[in-house]
Amino acid sequence: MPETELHARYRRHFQRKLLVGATLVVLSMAAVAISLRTGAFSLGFGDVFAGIAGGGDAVVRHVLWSIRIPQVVAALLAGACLGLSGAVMQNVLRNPLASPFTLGISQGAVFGAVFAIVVLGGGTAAVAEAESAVAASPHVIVACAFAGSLITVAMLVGLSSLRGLSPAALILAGVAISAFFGSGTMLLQYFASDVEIASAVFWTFGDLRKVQWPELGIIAVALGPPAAFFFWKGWDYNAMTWGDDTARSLGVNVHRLRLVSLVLAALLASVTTAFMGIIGFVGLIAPHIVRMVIGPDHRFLFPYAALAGGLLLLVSDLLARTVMAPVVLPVGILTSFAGAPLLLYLLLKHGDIRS
Amino acid sequence: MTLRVHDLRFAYRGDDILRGMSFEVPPGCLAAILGENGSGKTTLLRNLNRLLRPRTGTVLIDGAAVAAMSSREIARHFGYMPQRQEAAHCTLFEAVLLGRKARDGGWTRRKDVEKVEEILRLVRLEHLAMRSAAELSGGELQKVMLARALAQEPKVLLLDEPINHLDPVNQIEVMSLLHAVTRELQVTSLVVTHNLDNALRFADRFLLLKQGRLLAAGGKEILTPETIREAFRIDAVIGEVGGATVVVPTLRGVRSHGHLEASGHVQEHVHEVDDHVYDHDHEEPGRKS
Repeated sequence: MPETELHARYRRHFQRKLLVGATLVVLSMAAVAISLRTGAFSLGFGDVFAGIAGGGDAVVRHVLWSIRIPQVVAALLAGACLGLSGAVMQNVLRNPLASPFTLGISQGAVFGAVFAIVVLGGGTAAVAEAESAVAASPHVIVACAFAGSLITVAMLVGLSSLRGLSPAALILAGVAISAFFGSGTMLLQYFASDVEIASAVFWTFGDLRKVQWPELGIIAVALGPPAAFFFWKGWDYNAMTWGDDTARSLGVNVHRLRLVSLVLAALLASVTTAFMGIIGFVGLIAPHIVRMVIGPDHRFLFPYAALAGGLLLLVSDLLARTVMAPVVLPVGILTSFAGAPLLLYLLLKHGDIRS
Repeated sequence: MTLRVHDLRFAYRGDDILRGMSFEVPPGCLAAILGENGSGKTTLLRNLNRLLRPRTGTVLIDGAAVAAMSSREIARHFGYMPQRQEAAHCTLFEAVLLGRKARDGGWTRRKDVEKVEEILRLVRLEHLAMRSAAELSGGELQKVMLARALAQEPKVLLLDEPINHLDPVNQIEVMSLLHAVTRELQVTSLVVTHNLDNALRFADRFLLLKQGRLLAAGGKEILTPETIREAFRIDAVIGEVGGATVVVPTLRGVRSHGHLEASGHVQEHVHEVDDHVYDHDHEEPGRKS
């Protein structure tokens, strides 16, 4: 049977959405290429290609494989984790402001890290190291930061499943938990030494340079299964945009989906924050940008939010390395600096932001 | 597909909302669920497809117990339209496609697209297929919701006040569409409505609810001034106008607001409105009071 006109129109509609994805991939590749050749040690595209292929100068290969490529991969992975995490939270909590930051996950991680630095002495041994104050026992700090964010997640999930809190109430619970951990952090800092405070503050700066290949491996492994789950369940999330009742009547187990999604999305954010510190706004903004282009079709929104998150973080990192060169800023400072006005701009331009 | 309900009971926070309901609706039959606010109409619908868990009682579709079905299986048997529905931002085509894909998951197949197209034709919305659902009028949105429920290929359609916010023309259009698809597709349809006239015009069976119990069930004949007085606590006249049966409530039995008039509030208010707002239109203020 020949294709009907309506079928053809739907196919074109579908292809337009695919095209947006292709554009994101091309932009990301361009950003990767520029990022690889930019830095204190300037390289040509030729050097970059030769270095990646395993040829060329040994120094160039070292710069590429030990510094630039890990940093680019870190930007893509962390951006994907945050963008995806934000997109999922905005859907299941039905709130355009939901993000790892607003739910208190970041603050939980900060508390964990500061606890490690101040109470477990994670930072004191680093005094001798002068420059990199958090270099000592980084594993303890990462573990504690991860535990801190997990406690936040457990509290949110507990509240949600035991008391059956509504999505709106969960957001407020996130605010309360943030404030709780925020004051806990301040309390710890009040009793901390100058060096410990410096270490703690330094830890909170989101920075892609904190991770190397082993950590990237862990993040990639953590990203894979949740991403597959979210992509596969795209239709279920589309049903969620019509409200709980409609989604349930369409066959979606809303309660379970919300719970599983929250846990997985929070895990993605936790892993990233534990290894790299706080990188604000990417998780909030990447989904909004994609939604403005393709609408809330989660079959596309989730993968594209991950791509857009990576792209945003990569560009931010590129700027962080170049705006004040030779000073390299932590990317977390830049994302917040750029993210806040960007969000305001989007709000003013569209007058409305949807979940 | 016959829907059989036996001794359905539901309680919420200690209050009995459904106090044992039993009835049957055969396929191809459009049943109207009538009753005053709080009589348990919506609760009844939501207990049928297990959006709420009944305390006791059974719901069977062709002998199969709904209680034993998974949520995806229930979505294959029941299409549901909630009372209030805010449109999400997607094309109308995708809004209808969702009826199939949310329950099946996976890739969109040719069969899915063809089914959606067929249903859009049925509800006469194919020309709007690529428009955003958020831009539709109230009547169109209700038809889309009906189309989505039909895309689930359900055996039973549950519709909660589908014509509540529509103008008279759209009310008739949606009801007659529902009547037609019920016959055409041989589904069992249950519609909650407050519109007695349209119910009388389009429904085949009537379930009259009062305080969580089934007051009467059957054809048109069960709607008498007596049953209406019992169910709605108003006196009504039932008669024929232009070939249609209509129910006209009289004002006897309607709670009076004399206490307001006695206190002078209403009079003052009308007077005020008269003077300031409706200076040039003295027919309007009556509505305000």
